[in-house]
Order: sequence, then structure tokens, then C-alpha cells
Amino acid sequence: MANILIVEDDRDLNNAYSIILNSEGHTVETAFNGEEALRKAKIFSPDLILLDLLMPIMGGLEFLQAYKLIKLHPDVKVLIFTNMENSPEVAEAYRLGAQRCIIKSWTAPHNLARVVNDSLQAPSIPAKKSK
Amino acid sequence: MMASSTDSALYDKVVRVTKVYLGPAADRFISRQVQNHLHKPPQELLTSDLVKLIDWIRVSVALLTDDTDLIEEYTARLEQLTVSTPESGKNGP
Amino acid sequence: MSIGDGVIVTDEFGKITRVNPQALRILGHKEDELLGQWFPQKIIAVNPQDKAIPLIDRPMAKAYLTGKSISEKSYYRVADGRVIPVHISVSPILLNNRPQGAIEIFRDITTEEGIDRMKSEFISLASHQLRTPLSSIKTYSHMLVDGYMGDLTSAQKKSLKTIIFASNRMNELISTLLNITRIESGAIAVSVKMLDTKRLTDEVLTELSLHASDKKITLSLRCTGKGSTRLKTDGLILKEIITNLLSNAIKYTPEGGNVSAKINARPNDIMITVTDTGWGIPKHDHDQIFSKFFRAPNVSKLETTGTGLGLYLVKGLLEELGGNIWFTSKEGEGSDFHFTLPRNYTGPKTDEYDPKVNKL
Repeated sequence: MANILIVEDDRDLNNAYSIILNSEGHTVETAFNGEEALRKAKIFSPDLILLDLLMPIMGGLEFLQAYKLIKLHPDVKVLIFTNMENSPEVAEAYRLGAQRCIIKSWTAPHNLARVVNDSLQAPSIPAKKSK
Repeated sequence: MMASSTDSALYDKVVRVTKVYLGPAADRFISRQVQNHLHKPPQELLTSDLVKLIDWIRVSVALLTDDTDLIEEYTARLEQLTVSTPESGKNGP
Repeated sequence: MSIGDGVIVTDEFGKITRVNPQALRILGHKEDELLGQWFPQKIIAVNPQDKAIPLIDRPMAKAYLTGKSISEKSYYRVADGRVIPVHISVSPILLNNRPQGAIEIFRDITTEEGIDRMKSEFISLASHQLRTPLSSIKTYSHMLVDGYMGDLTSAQKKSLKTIIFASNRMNELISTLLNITRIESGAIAVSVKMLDTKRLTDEVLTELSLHASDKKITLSLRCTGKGSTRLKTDGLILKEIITNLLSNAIKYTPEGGNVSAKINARPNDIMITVTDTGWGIPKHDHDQIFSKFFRAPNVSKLETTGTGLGLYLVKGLLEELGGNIWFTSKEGEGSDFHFTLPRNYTGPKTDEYDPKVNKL
């Protein structure tokens, strides 16, 4: 139903999330770092991005900053994927327009699918202007 | 023994005097002083408690301002309440 | 008090009457610069961002307000402008029960903080490394059980559930350790957003449903109160709190029992209550239930997997959100844990009022 871009450097998890979201009927594209994600996002036009923060070459925050600069798809929903909650990085991601934060090690497949579906239906929140 | 209306009037008087110097924080400030130093609910403040209460108020306020004249003025007004308020325990009319 | 501690004595007017050499060394002052001076003005207390803290929040003021000794961490701005972390102990000086002044003992804890910071970074790193493989274990086990890779026999499903439970326990432990270290180092970063507590609680109940159904425990959720169940707070921290309380309730309730969550949407806050029909907490243990590492003896014999950290963590996290927690419990009947959250997050729980003395 929707185009989802999964940006996650762990191959096992990347693979698992693809299977889960494919089975929900979404069209899935994957990337293993921020740079690859930028390239694919231009062609793929995602409705929602599952974005890991800690990745090699280009991490999640850098990707978000670059993505906002390009202003490709202003309505895209961004869900942060991480194992580091309460971190300044998560706070920064929210400031850059991320909708939600998902803790990978806490989240079972059915909850992941549910959160993705809920987020797709929720209205977009524009990124906060920086002070 | 239930507090008579005279007693809670004493607490209110103390707070009213304090409001002049501490502003809206007065109620909270005085109620904490009564609870922590006299170990009773604020409404049960008695005239006989005032000396001890003023002692503690004096040292606390001395950490909020170094204006000793102001502190003297404030505590003097509180001390006046020990003479103007009737002894507690008497029943009201 | 060790020989390295600074000592300052003040009189009932808040003026410094005595100061020891160690205090002078830490603060960078000479004795004649401090004696006879007003304590709050000469000894400058700030927050870590070098902003002066309200006078009523200073330990010495708190000691007078409560009549008790106050022991806490703070920051002083010393003579050369540096901000240093200090640990302060203040007691009122009483003569015939009348306050005559105060004595403050303090020490520079810069080195200890440095060590804390290293511990904190290590735990963060270690937790992240531990959580990465756990994410795979959890995700793939669930996918197998849910049939993503084809149908399984019930024996295979049962084995997978064992794997899931064990990895959940490990996950909880890592989260608990990580959060406790963060709280103790003051490193919790609260990210506030508008969220629906009902939806969040529902998510947690779903996550725990497998565990509950295994013990044949019924889970339920209800909402009361006229207000909205939505409020502004940190969703991840709140989720951790609710998960801890519900998971405790399930853990300490025997088979066939009930665990329920109730959300009371009140005008100024939201109160959430977690109720169980479990073993309960004996009255003589009530005082210690939120202490670090405490496990009530009546349950540690029956249930060996607890760390005694969960409620200590919950209390610490709630304080970060500006909330309160309390409970009622009867041994053999069960427990009710209540906590409140303010509708608008305004910072960690502190004394919010700041009386300034006015002239007539």
C-alpha cells in the first residue's frame, strides 16, 4: 500500500523488517547506510522511512539533515530506529522532523507493523524550526 | 480537638503578613515551616507556637535576603501577632 | 567528614562566621574575603549550565525549611569563574532547640564525576552492543512463531516462546542497568511529545500478552475521568515505567490471577494505577520497596529472576518526568501501584517556587 524505505546497517534486521513490511502489503526498498539511502530515496519516493541512527559512512542524523535540505518529499514520515533511547541524538532527530522512536530490541514484528501503519495514517508534523 | 475558627485565622494572619515580603510563595513557605518545625497541620497554628515559628522563619528568610532591616521589620510584624491574637482554646461566640 | 572537606559555619543572619583552609582552597578565596559576608552571595551555587539556582532551593535554605540535615550534589562557581561539582551536607545548628545558624561540609567531586562519566559511556556502549544481537533474536524468534517462515508444530512454537521470554528478560535487564546509570549520572535526556497514554499502555499490554497468557493471567485496561488521555511527556521513558510496573505485576502474581491497568484522566494530571491479585508486599517491607536492590523476602523465595532494581528505576524515571508514585498492598491479596504525571512537562520534580523578598 505504501512505499517504505528501510535504512539499517545490520543485514539480519534489514532483511527481517523487509519481510515483515512486505507481508503487510507495502513496497519496500532497503539501504545499509545514509548515503545509499539518499540515492535510493531520490528514485523510490518513500512515504515512510525507517531510519537507524548508528550506521557507517553516513549515519541517520546526517541523512535527515541532507534529506531536509534536498526537500524531496516534504510529507514523508520518518521513524527512528535505535537501541539508544534517551540520547541527545534521538532528541536531535525529533528536531529534524522524526515522528517517533522505535527501540529495536523491544519491538516485536506485529508491533512494528502496527506502528508503521499508524504512522502512515497520522498527519505529517513539520520539522521544528531551529532556534 | 477541632481547631476553632480563631486558630486558622492566626495562620491566615501570618500568611497575610508574609505575602507582603515573599509574594505568592508565602502560603507554601509558611505551611512548610509549620509542618516541619511544629509537626502539625498549618490550620492548627496556635499563638503559643509563634515564638518558635518566628525563630525558624527568621533564619530561613536570612538566606533569602541580606537586608537585615527588612527582616527585622517582617519578624516584628509577626511578633505583634502574639499579642493581638486572643489565646487559642477559647470557644467562639 | 574527611580532612579534604571544606567547612563553612554561618550564623542566624546567614553570615559566614568560620571557614576552614580546605574550603578556602576549593573556593579560591581568602579568609578575610569571606568572614562576616552573606553566605548566599559569596558562595555562588549554579546549575551545570552556570545559571544561578533559586535561593530557596539551596541546600542550606532547605535545611532551615525542613529542620533536618540536607545532603545533595550541587555546583559552585569558584573565584576564578570555573563551575565545579560539589557534594554538600548542611545541618542547622541548634541551641536549646532554637536555630542559631548552620554548618556546611562540602567537597569537590570533579574526579568522581569524571569516573561516573566514563562508567556511563561504557554502559551505553556495552548496552548498545548487547542490544544489537538481541534485536535479531527477538525479531526472528517472533517471526518464526508468527508463521512468517511457514507453519510450525506446537512443540516448535513452545521452544521459540522459551527463547523469546529469555531474550525479553535479558532486554529488560540491559534497559534497567542502562537507565539507572543514566539517572545516577544525571544523563537522562527527556524528549517531550504529545502522546496518548491509553495507546501506549495498550502497546505494553500487547508486548506482555504472551507472557501473561502463559501464566493464564488476564490483562485488562480501562479509562476513567473526564479529561483526555493525551499528554505531553517522554514516550520512551513512560513506556519503560509502565512496562516495569506491569511486568512486575505479572511476575509476582500466581497462575490464574488478574493484572489491570487503569488510566484516570484528571483535570491537572493523569493517574495510572497498576493492580494485581498477586502475593502482595508485607507491611514491614513497605518502606524499602523503592530502594536499590531491595527484594521483599516473601517473593524472592518464590520468584528468583528479580534484580531489585525495577522499582528503584521507576521512581527515578518518574522524578525525571515530574511525577509521583505510591502504592498500597496487602500480603496474600495483591498490590496497587499508582503514579501521576503532570499534563505539561515542566522539568524534573523540584521545588518550583522561588520566593523573592520584597521591600514594602
